[in-house]
Amino acid sequence: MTLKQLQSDFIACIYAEQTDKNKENNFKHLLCEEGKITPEQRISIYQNAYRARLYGVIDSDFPCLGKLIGDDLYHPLCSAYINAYPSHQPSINNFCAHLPEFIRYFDSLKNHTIAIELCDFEWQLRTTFNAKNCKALAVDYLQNIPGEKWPTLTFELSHGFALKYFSMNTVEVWLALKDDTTPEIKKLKQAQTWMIWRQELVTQYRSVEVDEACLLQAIADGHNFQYLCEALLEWWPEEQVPERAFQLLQHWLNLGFLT
Amino acid sequence: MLVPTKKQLPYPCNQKPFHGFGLGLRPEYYHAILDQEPNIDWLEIISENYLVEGGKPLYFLDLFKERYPIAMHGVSMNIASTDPLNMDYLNELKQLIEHVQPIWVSDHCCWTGVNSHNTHDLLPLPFHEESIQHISSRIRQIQDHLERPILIENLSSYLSFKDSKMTEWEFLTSVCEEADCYLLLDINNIYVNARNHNFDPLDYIKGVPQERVVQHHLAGHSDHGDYIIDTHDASIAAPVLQLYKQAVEHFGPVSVMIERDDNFPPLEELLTELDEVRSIFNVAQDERKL
Repeated sequence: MTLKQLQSDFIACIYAEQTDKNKENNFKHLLCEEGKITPEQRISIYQNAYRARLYGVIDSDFPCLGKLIGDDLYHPLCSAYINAYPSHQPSINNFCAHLPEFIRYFDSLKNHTIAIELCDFEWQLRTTFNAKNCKALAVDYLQNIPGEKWPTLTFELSHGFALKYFSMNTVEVWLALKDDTTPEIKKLKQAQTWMIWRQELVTQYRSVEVDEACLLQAIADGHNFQYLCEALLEWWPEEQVPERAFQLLQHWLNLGFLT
Repeated sequence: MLVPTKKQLPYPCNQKPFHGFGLGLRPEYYHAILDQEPNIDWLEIISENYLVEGGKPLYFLDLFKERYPIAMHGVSMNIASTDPLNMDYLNELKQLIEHVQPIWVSDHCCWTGVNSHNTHDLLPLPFHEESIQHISSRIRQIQDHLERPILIENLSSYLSFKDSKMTEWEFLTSVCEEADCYLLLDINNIYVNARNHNFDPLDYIKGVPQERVVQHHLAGHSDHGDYIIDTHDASIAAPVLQLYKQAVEHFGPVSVMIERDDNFPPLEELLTELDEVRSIFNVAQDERKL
């Protein structure tokens, strides 16, 4: 048997559920009989280690999801995800990248809005934590911009910055679960926008007002300062727009996510 | 296409660097090590933990590399796989090497996946000529790409193949000599395999090329009676420490470190364990000189 065939059979055997004896039989005849441990038991050590390792990664990336939905839903979710998305990358860091999408279509959770939103929130925290470093604009940046340049001025958001729209009190639930307390789960009257970013090394999250969310989305879409001010007219009288725009810009500079 | 070439060993026999007694750097100990500046001679990082774009891991890595010699230890080189080498991974690793300037770079003599799948486990292979040629050719390509020799580590295993034609130590010796690479000899893994595959661990220690052994690993395991699992979640077992003493008597001074990857105790506990390793080393060295 070639090394390639042996490796293909071994990995098929590891991926197989332990009840799939066909894949195990293709491989176990290659193994030595040693001591009191049978080849089947030896194979199961690798099968168990594979699943335990990936369960561990999901636990680590989604520390509150399992607490929210309980073992009866969490274990089938993890098991189905591991089967559906075997890792193709050398690094295990992004193994869970598809889970926020996968949970939306997972039969027993696809209508479980709080689980879907919490999963999305936890993965965003993880993504922001490892995002590329970038140099934030200094707080006094605005003072040095000539007046004529303001209308065409554009900003960029730091790597790892994200806006999330939650219809439930998702962050409140996450905080309660993080503290091992029982959350009160509520549907919000109006969806709430949250921004997640990293200030220096610390991942931050905060709810944002509707006009602020609109402007942040506009910045993400590459619009200039004139566009931002025009957008504010939807919520503010014209004479208050400059004040609100500068207030928000100053605030964002303080939070360190404009680059 | 990389053309494998043979290179001279940069450490002539008996002039291997000895960096003393180290610890595996894990996030659980970042603050304790920085705050206490304990008696640790060097640190070993898991390379993949720092193959990220930014944030805390790289920030802390920079703090530690100013304070300690760093060795880079990988788990994803997939050396023995029959898939093509992952050049994206090797390029990222090379960038990290340039940033860290490590005392050396190591990975395992094993495969982790095939057909573009990755199990993230360290998987064994049969010990025969085809495997030797396959692995040693790939190590030479890796060393050429990284422009430095690497260390390969013996792994713990729970099964062995009927196709094998030689012992594990004969296999490792052939790979190292064909590839012109060094050995990271994990003493715990030797003990684990000796129990799992029923051989004398001293035969293993005496069977590998002394001049190529540059580093030792020590770690805890989980003893299930009929078999042992290499778990790194407990203190080093007494028989492994005894085997380490015999390794020092045989190999002389070799840089050694403790790996702890789960069930993390306070740093003080690991430092006490490291002191015990130092004491065993000193006794073995004294006995060696007699």
